[in-house]
Amino acid sequence: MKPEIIEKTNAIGEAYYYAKHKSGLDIYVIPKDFASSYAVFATKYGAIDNCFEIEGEEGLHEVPDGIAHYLEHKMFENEDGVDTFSRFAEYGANANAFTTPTMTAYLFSCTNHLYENLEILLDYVSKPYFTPENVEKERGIIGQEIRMYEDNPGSAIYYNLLEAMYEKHQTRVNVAGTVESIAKITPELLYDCYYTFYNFSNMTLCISGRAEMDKVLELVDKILPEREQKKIIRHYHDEKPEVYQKRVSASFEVAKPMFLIGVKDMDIAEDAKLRTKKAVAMEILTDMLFGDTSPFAIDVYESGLVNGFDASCDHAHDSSKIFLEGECENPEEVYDHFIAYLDDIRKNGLSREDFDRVKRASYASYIKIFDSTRLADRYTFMLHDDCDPFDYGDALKSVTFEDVEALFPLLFKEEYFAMSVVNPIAEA
Amino acid sequence: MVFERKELASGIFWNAVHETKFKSNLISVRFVLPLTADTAAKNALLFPVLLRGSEKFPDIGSIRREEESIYDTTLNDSVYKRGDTQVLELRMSVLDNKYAIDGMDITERAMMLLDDILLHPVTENGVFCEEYVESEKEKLIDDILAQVNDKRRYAMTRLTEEMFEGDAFGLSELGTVETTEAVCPVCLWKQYHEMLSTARIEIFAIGNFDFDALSARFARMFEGIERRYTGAPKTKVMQGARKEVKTVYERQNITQGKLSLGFYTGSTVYDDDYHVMQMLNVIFGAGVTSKLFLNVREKLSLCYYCGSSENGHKGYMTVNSGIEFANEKKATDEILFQLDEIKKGNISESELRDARLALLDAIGRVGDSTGNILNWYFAGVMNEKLISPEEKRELIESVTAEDIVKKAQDIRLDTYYFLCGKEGNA
Repeated sequence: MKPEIIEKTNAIGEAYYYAKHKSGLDIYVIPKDFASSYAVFATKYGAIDNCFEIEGEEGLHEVPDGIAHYLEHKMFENEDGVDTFSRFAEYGANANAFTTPTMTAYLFSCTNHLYENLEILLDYVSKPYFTPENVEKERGIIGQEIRMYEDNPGSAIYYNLLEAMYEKHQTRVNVAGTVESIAKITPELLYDCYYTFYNFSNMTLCISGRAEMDKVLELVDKILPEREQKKIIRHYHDEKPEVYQKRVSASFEVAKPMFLIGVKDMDIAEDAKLRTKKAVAMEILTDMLFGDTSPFAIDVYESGLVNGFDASCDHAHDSSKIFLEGECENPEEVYDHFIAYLDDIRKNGLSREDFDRVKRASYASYIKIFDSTRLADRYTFMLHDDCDPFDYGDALKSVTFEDVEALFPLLFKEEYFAMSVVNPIAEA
Repeated sequence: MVFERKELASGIFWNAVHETKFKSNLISVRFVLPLTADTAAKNALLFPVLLRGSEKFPDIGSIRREEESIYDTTLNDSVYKRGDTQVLELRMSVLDNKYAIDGMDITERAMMLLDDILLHPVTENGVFCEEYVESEKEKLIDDILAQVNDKRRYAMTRLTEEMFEGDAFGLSELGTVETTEAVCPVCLWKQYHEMLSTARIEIFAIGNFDFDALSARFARMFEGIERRYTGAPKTKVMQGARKEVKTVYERQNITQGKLSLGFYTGSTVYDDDYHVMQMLNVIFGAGVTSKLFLNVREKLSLCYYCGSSENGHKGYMTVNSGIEFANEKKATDEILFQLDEIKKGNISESELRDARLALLDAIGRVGDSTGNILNWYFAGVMNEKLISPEEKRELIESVTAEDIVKKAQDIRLDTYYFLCGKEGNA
């Protein structure tokens, strides 16, 4: 039976099509007038999913850190020995994959042979092939990937901060794992994780470019094997709202100290629409307080206190946080400045004029997203957070100054702040 | 895509590409100057200092608030090295006027901002404000020193410095700490006027504009500037490899070694058969079906990344990889062995086909973003090889394995660089 195809459009002339395949797979097609098309086949499975149960089955599974990422590497192995990348190369496609805390995604982009490439994507991701030899071979490669990040102060400062902010919750887990944790990974463990998280009701297929839903559905019918739909019960460790440690530091061969301040927020709604609404308010608030036009950003630039200052935030089902980063002589001085600035805002309030200006700029950057040839990427992130990609634009339109104002005191409390520092190695 | 080009004034070129499918359009102004030890730091400071204040927008706060108000039209400045030249760019991604919710002419407001920033800086005693200059000098020095932070890029930069020691291309596009410290408001002001009167200026407008009005706007903008343009700055291409390979070891407190090898290729963008070198590079080490990826990483498990890239401005190629210190010889041997394989003609049908398709795919997507379109036509006008993506396709299609093997005979190792651990590191 052919599934129903739903079309959605928005005010700036964008559209997408949605269908649910009988395997449970959610399929999205975003028509774009580009020469290239971009497809993402992704599972809701990432670094934070290291403890889980399957409904109706006995036993709690606790798996080594880094296994979702290891599995991503190993999916490229095929039983007939043909390399996946070379299968794509035959049709001129550019293939890749990535793992995040909540997702593993397999993708390609191409200017030709879209359906041939799509067939390869569906085929290799639905056929695991793990042997003791090929699993062993990967340990050296991933070991070097981990080493590369160990020498990278930007990566160290980030994971150190997560470990300081979160005492137990898996947000603190490094996506690649450690050399020690990946030593425990076996073909059996990989198969267990694969058959749990790569059941198609836990996956999405999203294509932007010149695809037609009918043809995509035909291919999905043809390629995907029958697979039991499983309900996964994920266990995330309880986490208190306050940060675990206020300070963490490391030493690297860098020129100047680096800082990364984190604001932890454990107030995350179950309902996706509420989450989208809060995400928008949080982005505007972060921009008003720490964006390019904020008094804070201008002050640290003009005074020379910080070089390369940047602020960002993300609010999704797994975690919610704000980051402030830069290089400076004395990170504690920046932190004190941050605290004094917030006190000042508490006393004097936020500016309505700033709100209007930042909101307009956010609207413009939202529209610019649709020029991207990699739109399917963006959609996949939203879909995995159970958000409709167009809801974000609507929430942006309807967000008010009062929404943002109300959020400020909830987010900015001293017990939610932590700072990670990288210091230059002292000369011997 | 229709490309139009004309000279607005001596050495000031207008380039327009009309394309209606984007929601935001691109305006870019690039100043091309010779890269010299004396001017590199000054040039690198120019746009950062200009972006500190202009007549209408006298401080950074008022500039940034204007950018946000005109639908997030940020004036992005960058400086980079292209052969022996230094390119300074101001670029704006301008939302199409039809999306303005208040009827604003976004393009015109963006042009007013660009005009004011570029040509009407805040001055003090007839030159740049000392405070702005001193502050930007400090930031530039921080940026220069921070190059050591990213080890992978640092190793690549150090290889270039060593390989092109004594050559303009060996200089950093940011200058040095010493030359930055020496910059004063008066000498920077002089360099600013030097840039305006002597640089080759390439203006690009890509997307959906009223092009006639926009080009007239730019012509008026530059009208008052006295030009002393004497032609585009030239690049000296590499003439051959060193007789004896230059070997450099550098030690840092790190856990993974970074190997960077520099090879002479003799192939440049000015050659009619440059695309043969592009094919060779893809087969050798660019991408996941290349010989380096399949052997150094997949077969021998020596690294996470090992890839090559070629530079057609100077005529050289590099190979970069992150490896265990102890695997230095193994990795180097394998890299050189794979290059020899190409020299000996061991290129399979599928390697040739995959490389061809990869390049055709890249060419096929030129029209998909304003940034791609800019890079394509900028390269065309600078290299004096202005061809359409279609014509380039035909060139790529025509390359044979024999062409590649023949080209490979010219390639020779010139410089060997290894960033390794201090004694006692694992």
